[in-house]
Order: sequence, then structure tokens, then C-alpha cells
Amino acid sequence: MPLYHTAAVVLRRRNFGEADRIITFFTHDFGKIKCIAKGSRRFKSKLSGNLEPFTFLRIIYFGKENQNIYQINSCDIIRSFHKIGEDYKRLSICSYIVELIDTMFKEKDPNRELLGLLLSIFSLIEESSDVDTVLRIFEVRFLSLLGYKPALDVCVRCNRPVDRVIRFNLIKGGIICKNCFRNTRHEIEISRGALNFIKKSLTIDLSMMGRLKIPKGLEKGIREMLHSSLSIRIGKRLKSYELLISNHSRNS
Amino acid sequence: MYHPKSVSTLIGELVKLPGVGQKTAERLAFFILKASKNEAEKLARAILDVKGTIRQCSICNSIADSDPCEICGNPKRDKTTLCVIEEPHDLFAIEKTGGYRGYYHVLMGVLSPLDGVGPDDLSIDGLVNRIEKDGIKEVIIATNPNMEGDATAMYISNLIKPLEVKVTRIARGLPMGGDLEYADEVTLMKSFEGRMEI
Ligand SMILES: [Zn+2]
Repeated sequence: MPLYHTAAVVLRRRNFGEADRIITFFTHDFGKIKCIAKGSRRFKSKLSGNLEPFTFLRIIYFGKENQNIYQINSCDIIRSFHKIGEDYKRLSICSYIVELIDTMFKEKDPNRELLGLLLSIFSLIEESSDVDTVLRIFEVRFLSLLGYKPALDVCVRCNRPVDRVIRFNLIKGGIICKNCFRNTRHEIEISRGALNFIKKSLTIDLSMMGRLKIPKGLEKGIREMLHSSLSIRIGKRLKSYELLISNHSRNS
Repeated sequence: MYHPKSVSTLIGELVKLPGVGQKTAERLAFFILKASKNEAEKLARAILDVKGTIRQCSICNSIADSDPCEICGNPKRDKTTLCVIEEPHDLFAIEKTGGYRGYYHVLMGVLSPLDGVGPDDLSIDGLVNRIEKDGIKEVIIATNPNMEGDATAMYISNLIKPLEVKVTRIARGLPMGGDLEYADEVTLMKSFEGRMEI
């Protein structure tokens, strides 16, 4: 049976059998995969502390080529991101990010850009005091990775420059000029400031993300616009998003 | 393998138990087949009894034969300490050590956004109530030492600190009988964070 070596992030884990876990990884070389970690719920297992959510590791696993579930042989932590779990809000945000990826990516569909983005985002969420902005940047970049990069240069209907933006079309994923605007629920109002933030989120270097700020008063508009854009592509409700929203209403 | 219908029904039920695979289920089924009728009836009755008499303790949420449970109904325990745990089986594990004399509060789960479990799904209001009216001096948070358990511990700690109660978290460190060089990185790191004076 072949042995596979790769780097991977733990997306989620669930208990299985008496003391095992099934781990969903996003790997550098093979995309999303599932592995069984035998005995990993026992304190004595060398695997137990290493397979917490969001951990970035080097893993060795084995199994037949066309298998759905492989078996972990060993793993070594590259970075643990354990601080995310010290705060419920950070945990909620990262859980939502992980659920987005788990929902939108098929198994064995590698995407190194996504892995790079994910590591930068986890590291920012551990350190940043403005984790909502970090999440918004992730959502913009994630849409773009899925092939739905927001079209913000010209009107998506007539291709003419838009001087005064009034609407964003969620299905076409781009801005609509005054002349092309139709009154449907898929065309939502959007402010100039919100568009600028999204534009910057698309192009900013990952190492500079921490410097980007959402202008005051635009938080809700941007959050709803991005969530609606993603919802159309996901086609189902995500548990972790609903909890995130209920946190919002709890704290305000 | 071919089995008579009643035997395969029994195997089908046994295989649903945690940690029981097809092979083990077959072994158990044949053990029951060979046992005396009396033995088989005792087993069947025990299963029915446990479902019939078991209830949830209205004070600590644990499962017990009575309400309040044996522990909550015992006035000799230490009234000033409360140990917060995820599930009733954690209570049984701690009781087995014989080293803890306070009371318990079972959260009935752990914060886990990926599974859709948030603060409203846990018995947190009940915990706050008990701290406020029972004169608790120390709350020991004994959720599992993993990401969800830690997040839950921090969340509860932030929530109850204003109640002027001492909040502690069970120590995380190296398992007894192990070698340092084989410890995983996170456990080793946590054992440094949780070091104590000797
Ligand atoms: Zn009780």
C-alpha cells in the first residue's frame, strides 16, 4: 500500500468507534481528504494532541489509491493555531471558514492558493483585534478562488463604466449601472466605500491584510452583501454561520 | 455467513453498540445463545430497567436512578466547590478517582460551532443560577482538554468572573508513565504553561 507524505490543515474531526477519530484535512498535494486516526482519543496516543482543528502539520498516511478514508501513520505539527480556541468568537469564525471550505471543495481537488490563504487567515485571526474584518477579506478572496471574483470595473450588463454605483447583482457577481438596474431581489444596494473595501481585499498582499480596515458604518452592508453572494453559490444554510450571526445579536 | 433470522436480528442490534464490530457482535450473539435462559433474561431485564428508571437530575443534569441524584442529594459533600463537565460520563470518571468531594454541573455538551452547538444549547444559565444562589466559592472547569473544551472553559470563565467566584481549569500536562520525548508538541507546551512550584 502506498504511503503519502504531504502538509495539511485539519478542517474538522469527529469521533468514530471506541477511541478513533475521522479527520478531514485540506492537504497541499491532494486537496481535501479523510483519514482515520486510530486510538487518537486516548491520552497515550501520540496523535491525540496534534489533530486539533486548524492545526497545520506534516502528515504521513496510507491506503489504497481509490479509497475514501485513509489511515494516518504519523504527523508533526508545523503550527498549531491553538490560540483560536481560547476565544469563542475566534473559534466561531474559523469554524465558519472551515465549513465553507468543506462544503465547497470536493475531495482530492488540490488548491494551493486556498491553503496559503487559509494559513494567513488563521494566523491573522490569532493575532488581530479586528477579526470581523479578517473574515470579510477571507470571504472576498474565497469567492474569487471559487471563480466568482466580484466584477467591480464596469457594469456587468452593458460593459460601460459606472460613475455612480447603485446596485450589485448577486447572480452575475458584479456592479450594475443606473441605466441597467432592474428591481429584483438579486440586485442590492451597495456603497462606494463598500466597493472600495472589496477591491482592496482582492488585491492586497496576504502579509499586509492586517492593515486593511472597514470604514465605520459599512460593516453591516459589507457583511450582508458578501454573505448573500456566498449563499447563492452554497445553496444551503451553514450551521456555523447561523451561530456566528446569533453571537452578533447577543453582543450588540 | 448464514444465520437464522432471530440470530441475525440480535447481531444487527449488537453491532450498533460503540466499539462493537461485526465479528464481536457475532461472538456476543453466540455467547448469549449458549447462556442459560435465566442469564439471557437477566440481561434483557437490565436493559429495560435502565431505560425505565433512569432520569436526569434536575440539579446537576447528570443521569441517575433518582432525582436529585445520589451526589446532589448528599449533604456531606463540599458545598463550596462546583466542577463543570461536558457529559455525565465525565462525572463517573472523576468519581472513580475518589479525590473530588464537591458537587458537579453537567453542561450537556460543549461549544462546537461546526456541529451547530452554541451557548444557548448548553446548560450555562443553570450554572450561573447555581453559583449565584448556592454560595459556591470555586468553580473547577473540567471540560475536555481540546479546542472545543478550551473555548467553552474560556467562555464560561469570562461569564462567571463578575460573580466573584474563583475559576480554575484542570491541569494539562504529561500523562503518568510516559516519556517526555514521546509527548506530542501541544501537550508538552501546555505542561510548561501549567507548571507549578514544588
Ligand atoms: Zn445531581
